Amino acid sequence: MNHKSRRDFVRRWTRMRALAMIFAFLFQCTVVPLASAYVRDFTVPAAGGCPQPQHQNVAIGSPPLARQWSTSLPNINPSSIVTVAAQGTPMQLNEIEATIQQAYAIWSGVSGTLVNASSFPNALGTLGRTTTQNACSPDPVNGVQTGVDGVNTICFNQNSAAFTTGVLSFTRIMVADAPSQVFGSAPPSIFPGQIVDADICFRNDGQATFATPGALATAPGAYDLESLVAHELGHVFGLDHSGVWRAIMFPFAPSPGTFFGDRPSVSAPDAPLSDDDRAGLRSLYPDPADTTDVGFISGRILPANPFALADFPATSPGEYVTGIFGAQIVAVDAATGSVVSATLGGWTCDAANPPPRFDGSYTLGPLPIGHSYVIYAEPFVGLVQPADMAGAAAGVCATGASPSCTVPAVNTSFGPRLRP
Amino acid sequence: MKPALIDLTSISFVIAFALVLSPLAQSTTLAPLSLAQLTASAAAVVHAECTDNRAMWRDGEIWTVTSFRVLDNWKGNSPHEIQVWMIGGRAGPITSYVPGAPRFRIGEEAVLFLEPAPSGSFGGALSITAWGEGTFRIRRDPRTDEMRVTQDTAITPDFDPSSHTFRETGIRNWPLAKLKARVMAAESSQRRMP
Repeated sequence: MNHKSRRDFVRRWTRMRALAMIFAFLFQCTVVPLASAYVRDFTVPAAGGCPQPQHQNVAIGSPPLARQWSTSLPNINPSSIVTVAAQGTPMQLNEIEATIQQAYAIWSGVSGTLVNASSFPNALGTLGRTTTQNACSPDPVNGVQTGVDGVNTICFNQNSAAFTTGVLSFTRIMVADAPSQVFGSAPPSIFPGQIVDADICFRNDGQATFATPGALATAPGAYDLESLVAHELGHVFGLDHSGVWRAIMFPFAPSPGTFFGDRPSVSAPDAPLSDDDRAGLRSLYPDPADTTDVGFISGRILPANPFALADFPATSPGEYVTGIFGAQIVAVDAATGSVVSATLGGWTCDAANPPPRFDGSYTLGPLPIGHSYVIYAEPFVGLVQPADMAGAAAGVCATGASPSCTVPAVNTSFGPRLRP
Repeated sequence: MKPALIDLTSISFVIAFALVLSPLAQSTTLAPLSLAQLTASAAAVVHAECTDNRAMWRDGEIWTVTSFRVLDNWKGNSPHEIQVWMIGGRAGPITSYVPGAPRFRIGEEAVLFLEPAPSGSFGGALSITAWGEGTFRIRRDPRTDEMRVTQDTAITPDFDPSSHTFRETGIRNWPLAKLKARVMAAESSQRRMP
């Protein structure tokens, strides 16, 4: 073997070793609902303890989810919101409201959740209207600047310094880290991690145009309002960006003039969603009566060579990184080949012994039982980057909480591996 | 031959995976901007290191003010220390989280495309053009120690079934020097335009 071929061999061998470094094991399927680590955002309680997933208070018996939209629309030419109905008419407001209702219906069409419109018709409150332009960032309450009113609001005509060049819309979520917290005019929080207010702002300066489904075909340069609202509502419900391409929570939306997936229908009200979106919603708002989507797969992602983790600093006193943190774990239905669920893996937390340990643990689900799944792990080095998951990762540890921890850097030093 | 087999398996899987995916082009919150557009939109482009993060209330919102030490000016003439405002953060007991808003760790290096906050907000403070599109994280190649950059919104090679080719959008794993050269070239050509 000459020098060059030896070098090639070493290079290929090194690459093979890198690919082989990562594999999922302790692979098991269980129907016992476990605390799952999904691609959600977490809040560490002020009193300390394990991170809690951020979500709205829609428990059985709780008040309906308060929601509204601002009928104050951008008064510019051409209009930022293209509709079939004439601009500035009551019919235009009705058309926009119908689009918002449809976007909500996409999520409330998911079976096996506490927000399902059929099983829990009162989970969501009536979609109200307000004429206030700045309803997504209200004035100070009693002299205290909070920006929190407890009503999940959609605004199309609110200026924000956050709209730099190229920014179309965003969702701002306010989260409590303890029960009984009162912010602004919102009702007291019930649990740590509760989303007490989530507002959506759309750009209103004419640099972007949005179209209702009926008007999209005549406005090829406009973004599909229904797709964007549906994505942002996923954030309102507590979901972060998903690394699954087909998911509506994937950080990238359809090109102008096109829409995401299939339009919702009577027979498939949640049609634009992927199974991953559905699993995410079910993980946050599980219907206790559901007997179908109750399967979970859990395990750990470990390097073949544990010394590969030696460079990671301690995450808390005496605790070191013992598994891959930040891998995307994906479940594929073995029969259909469809991606069913994915999660950001890498940590676990014992309620009796916090803070979190970064040991490569993951839990996928809830998944339909009675199916076989293929699992693979991949690094966030593609379209979705570690930065896209920054919120989900950052909330695992909190400064000031006791005992505290430090989130390690997302590990991308491995290749995709399939199991089994 | 095993390494080749593994490579083929991996590539086949990626292709098969890509085949079932519909091509996507835009971010939910962002309009797509080319590097030239980013350069033209930004008032300043800097290579900088994060030195501090703090959050505060302003205009009914929580903002995270991140301080950077400017290591190199690529466009404009930014001072040695700059502050960048991004919506969201943690102030007191409440957390405001805005998915997609870039966050930085102290000590992290990045190339940032910056513009004054809109409408003269915050006394002319800086903000990041197009959020993740104007954020290029820097990492060092552990083997060569070369600095490489990846755009927060970069896209993996996207297989186009009709042309049987891969399309790539966004900037991933470029040498830092290459990105700087492209930015400087874009800036130079814009200066030449009447």
